[in-house]
Amino acid sequence: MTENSNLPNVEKRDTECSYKEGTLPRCAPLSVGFVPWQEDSTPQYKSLDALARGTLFPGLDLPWKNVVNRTEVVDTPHGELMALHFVITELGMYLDTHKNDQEALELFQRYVKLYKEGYERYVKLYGPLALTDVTGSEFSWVNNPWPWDLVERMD
Amino acid sequence: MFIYQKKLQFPVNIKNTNPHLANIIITQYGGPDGELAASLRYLSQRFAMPYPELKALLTDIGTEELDHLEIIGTVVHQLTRNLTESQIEKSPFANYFVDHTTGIYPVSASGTPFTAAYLQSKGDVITDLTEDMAAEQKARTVYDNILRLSDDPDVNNVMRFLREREIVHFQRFGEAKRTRWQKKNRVADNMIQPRVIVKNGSWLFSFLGYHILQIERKLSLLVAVFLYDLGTK
Repeated sequence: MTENSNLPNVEKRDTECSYKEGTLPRCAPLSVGFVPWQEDSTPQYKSLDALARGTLFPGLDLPWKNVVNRTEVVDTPHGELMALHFVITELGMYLDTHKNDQEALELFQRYVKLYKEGYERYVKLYGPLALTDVTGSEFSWVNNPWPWDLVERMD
Repeated sequence: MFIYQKKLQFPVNIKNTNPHLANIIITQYGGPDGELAASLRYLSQRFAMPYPELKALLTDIGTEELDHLEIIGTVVHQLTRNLTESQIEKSPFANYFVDHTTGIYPVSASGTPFTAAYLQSKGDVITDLTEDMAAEQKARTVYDNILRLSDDPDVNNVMRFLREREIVHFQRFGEAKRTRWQKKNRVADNMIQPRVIVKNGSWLFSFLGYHILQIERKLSLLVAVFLYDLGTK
């Protein structure tokens, strides 16, 4: 304890903390609300489970009253493609804040490859997903169903 | 630019119509913590973000919120198909119906039309990210409340998915705010690494360190000039 420790000592504070850096109580940075960092290589769900639950990462899966969706919920004709696109969305967002995670980047690229293959198959079976997918003599872009139409499932 | 894909992010197949539920869920379309406010907030905040990682994050999350807007519109649309007059009369949806029939209109559950006052774009990294984190939690609470009020499994599957997305977005915004972004070299330096704080004599060390660095720079410049001279002779 220095003799002046009971006095407000602004100058002393300035020499101990560089601007906007440090830890509380002496050197608080500007507004850091605590959110724990998601570490690299956290475990992942399979793509269909990820879509059903709303996240790829079991560690972030925090359901209301612990009720979770069953995977069957997304087991539709479009489910597989939706699931692949969902994992790409999720990993893309993860990489925005973890761009040096090589393992995640490789996983991302594997899913992009699977998605592109799934996309081709889907367009052949169900018609165009984007305007540029329209081929042949019919302008099939306008055809029903549109995404908000209720399609009665045949199962 | 945006390119439309003719599919939803999450499947919506609602077998039973329910005007009561539609009247509640419409709030996530045009209400104070709804998906329209979310997408406009993030897609507008992007323009003033100085760091590339944050431009990417706001673009990606803002775009996903547009997916969610479409999902909510779909849920309300499917809940209000083929309604009978008596079904409408008996439900609070009558107040919505008189103005919009079964058209999808951005409005809150209490009937307040959408307003940009629900969101903020402040041009300040810390302020905007703090707003975004709060927005995700507010939206998560609304989904909790919808799950409290709804007993339709087809609807609840979708609400659980959307609620979980709020949690993931909150995590990403939180990570973005923990990161010390460096404008000069545009490199992210994550704050998880513990910083060594030298209590005593830190002034002396930083003074010496700075000057040693300066001397090093000057020396390397001299060497470079010397080598260049050698090369030209």
